[in-house]
Amino acid sequence: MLNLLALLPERASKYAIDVDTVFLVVFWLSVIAFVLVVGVMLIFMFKYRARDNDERDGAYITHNNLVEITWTIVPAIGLFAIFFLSLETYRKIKYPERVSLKVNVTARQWGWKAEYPDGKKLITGTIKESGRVTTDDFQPILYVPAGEPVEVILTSQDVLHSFYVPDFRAKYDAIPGRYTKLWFQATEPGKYELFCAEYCGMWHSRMPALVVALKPKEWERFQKLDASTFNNSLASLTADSLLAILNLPEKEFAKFVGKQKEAMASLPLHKRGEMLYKNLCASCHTTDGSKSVGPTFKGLYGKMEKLKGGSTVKVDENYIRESILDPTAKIVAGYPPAMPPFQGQLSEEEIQALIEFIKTLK
Amino acid sequence: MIEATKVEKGEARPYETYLDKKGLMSWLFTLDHKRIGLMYLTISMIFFLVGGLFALIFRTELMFPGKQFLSPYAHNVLFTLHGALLIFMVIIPMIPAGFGNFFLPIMVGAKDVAFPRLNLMSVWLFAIGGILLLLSLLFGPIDTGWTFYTPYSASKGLNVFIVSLAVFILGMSSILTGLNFIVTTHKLRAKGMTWGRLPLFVWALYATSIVQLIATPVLGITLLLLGLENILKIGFFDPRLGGDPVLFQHLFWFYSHPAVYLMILPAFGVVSEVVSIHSRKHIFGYWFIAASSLAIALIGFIVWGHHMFTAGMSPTADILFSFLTFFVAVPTAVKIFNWVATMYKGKIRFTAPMLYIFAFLFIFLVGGLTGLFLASVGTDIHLHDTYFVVAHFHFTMVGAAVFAIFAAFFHWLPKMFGKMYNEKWAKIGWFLNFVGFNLTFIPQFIMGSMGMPRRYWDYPVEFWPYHFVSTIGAFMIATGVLISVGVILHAILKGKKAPDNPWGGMSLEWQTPSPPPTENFLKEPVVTHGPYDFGKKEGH
Repeated sequence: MLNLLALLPERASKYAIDVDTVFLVVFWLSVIAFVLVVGVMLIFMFKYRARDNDERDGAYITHNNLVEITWTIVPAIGLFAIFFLSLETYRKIKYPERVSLKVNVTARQWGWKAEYPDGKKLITGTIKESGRVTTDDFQPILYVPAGEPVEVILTSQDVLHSFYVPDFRAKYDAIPGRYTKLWFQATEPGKYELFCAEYCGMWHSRMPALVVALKPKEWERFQKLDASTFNNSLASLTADSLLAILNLPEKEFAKFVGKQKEAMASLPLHKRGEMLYKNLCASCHTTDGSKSVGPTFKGLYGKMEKLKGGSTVKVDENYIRESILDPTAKIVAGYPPAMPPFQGQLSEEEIQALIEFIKTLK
Repeated sequence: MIEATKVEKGEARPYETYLDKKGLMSWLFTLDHKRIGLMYLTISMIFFLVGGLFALIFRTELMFPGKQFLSPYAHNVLFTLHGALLIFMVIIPMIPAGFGNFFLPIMVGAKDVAFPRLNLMSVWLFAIGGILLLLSLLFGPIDTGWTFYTPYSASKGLNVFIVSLAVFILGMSSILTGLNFIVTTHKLRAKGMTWGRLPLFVWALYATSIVQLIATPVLGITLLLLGLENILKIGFFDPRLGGDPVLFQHLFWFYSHPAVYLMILPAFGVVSEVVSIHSRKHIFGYWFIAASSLAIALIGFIVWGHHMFTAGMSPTADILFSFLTFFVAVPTAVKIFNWVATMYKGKIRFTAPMLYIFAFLFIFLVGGLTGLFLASVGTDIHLHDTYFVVAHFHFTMVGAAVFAIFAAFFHWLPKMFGKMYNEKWAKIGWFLNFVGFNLTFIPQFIMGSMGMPRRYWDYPVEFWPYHFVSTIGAFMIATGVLISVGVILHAILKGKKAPDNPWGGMSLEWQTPSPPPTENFLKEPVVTHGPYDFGKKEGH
């Protein structure tokens, strides 16, 4: 009975079945009510249609209080039954029995940022291609253990957004200036689409991401990954690539982790900046001199920039730093004030890495 | 009762009709409620076509995944304008201020509304509001959605200020109309017109007027605050300035939920009239229908929180608003049962207005039942802000309100202009509207259940088939609407002469000649029976 309909998406969280049960109970009750009312209407339409040239009036029947009271009370009982049924589901959606992982998620125009207690960080951006988009184009925003309850603490750094994973039946608004939360427990390992459900401006439709539920072994290995290594290289991998790494044979995985650490330690600052650039800046700033949403990074360092309002500024370390942290402070003439502030999102070291990368683009 | 005056073809009418005076000034400065009603209908109809065209454009963009021809900004502007124009300029005013203005005084047996000058001011304010809405486009079209959610809408500056000013003025117009109707119904009823003999359309307008009078000031205040926030950065709603974005939602829905009853209650009134007259049957359960209108109007005030189940309210509020929302479904269900029961043992005429009522009942039933999925807080969390919601409110607002508007047009056109419409083409238009409507919005229920969020310029390919079918349906509606509007215009300009009472109605508007005389009746009417006493014999 529950699977008669292809209406609902995959049922991939613990309380999805509770939501779907209410959905299907309401659905079938509605079908019954609809068939009854429309059926009676169709019968009346046929039976009591006026034949040609029949100018007579219908029978004089004005009301019947017993009938009225019956069809007031019977639907009322049905409606309140639905209400009480839905309360139990609401309780399950709202209150987890326990929580094994808490992740902070911050929404922005137009992307997401997730921060784990151990310092791991994932950031997704806006998909601005004009072509068709499939799930393969979505970047991962959350890796969570399947079978474990996960709490997401939400906020937004600009306007309203809403964190929505249809397969989990989970949704809650991200509100600037306060924290809201939701929880889910993925039942099966897999990749699940995350949408923004609250209208947030121009690219509202193009900030989707993936929530990846990991098998216990994968999750164990994910936790072993060093946070700074992860943030600087693995965070920008596609979900499939990271899954492949997490599923390497034991020895190779150990080797890989060791190598990563070594590579990171010896990686020049500007190389790390380049990784950050690809992750955070590439959707609006080019490196080839062409104009995009923001000015190109090519030849930017050392240049005299004309600002909105007529003054000029020399692009040095301090100007770049300020522009990253507080982008609207000095806006380059001819560009919209479209960049989100990265205050509190990047470490001092990451900012330096970005500046070093920009310096290489002569 | 008044004897209708028979006029043969070619013969001059023995009385002056409200249409006789010519010249622009005679319209702009008229105090005649019928002319004012017609001006409302004309303005609303223009905005209806423009708002519909906007929908057609962005539905075409959405026909295939990926960018077709609209930028995301253009798409967002179009859906915003589609919503704002159709809600504030069409669905809210069209039946009450348009048909209501024309028929309420006639139905109660009055010469005009209680305050004709105030009535003229209402229509002026309405026109000014409409012009301001269009002018706002020059300052950069807004892309906030018709809901103006903060903080997104709080940092847009002048254009949001102008739009909120426009809606503020439209609200003023709405308040004045409501006031006028309440006083008219209380004070200007003809001799013998007891409360129990009021047509149910008047009851529905009475309930609507109460909502207009109480709820609209809250919208005015909210939009004033929003406008000031944009200009002066005061900090009511923007958290960066210490404001609260959720407060805006409470204030906004405190008006905008009752507003959905502003849209639907007058439509209910039309249904009661048409279903009874075209079935030649006394309306079933007169008092239950009248009382349920009032019940809906009053309960409608305390359910606004069901728009905010995922917006950061407390669980107590979530549960309370869910409960109250189920409560409002009861009087709505009672109405539907009464309308269907009215057909029992009737003599149903399959006229165009009656066909629209069949479609109304079908569509409104689906709209109401799908509301249950959204009222139950357990399922709403999944469905909120998806296409399921879009489909649901189009089934209630468009399917029901717009279908009632067309029913009202065809039902009352012969009275308003003394001309008959082309029945065959009206039915072709009806067919396209009905089939097109279902084709457009049923797929939206399915994709909404699957998780397709609303207000998306683009979508992942898995949702494509539903968007494709939906757009085809939209083109069908467009064809149906153009045909229907064509039929109305053709009837007004070139229609055959209509009899004074083509449907055999018993309420007062059918007892006066068509088009009605300047002061509505040739002799002062005296009411001796109810509006739906079909089949009543001596001794009943």
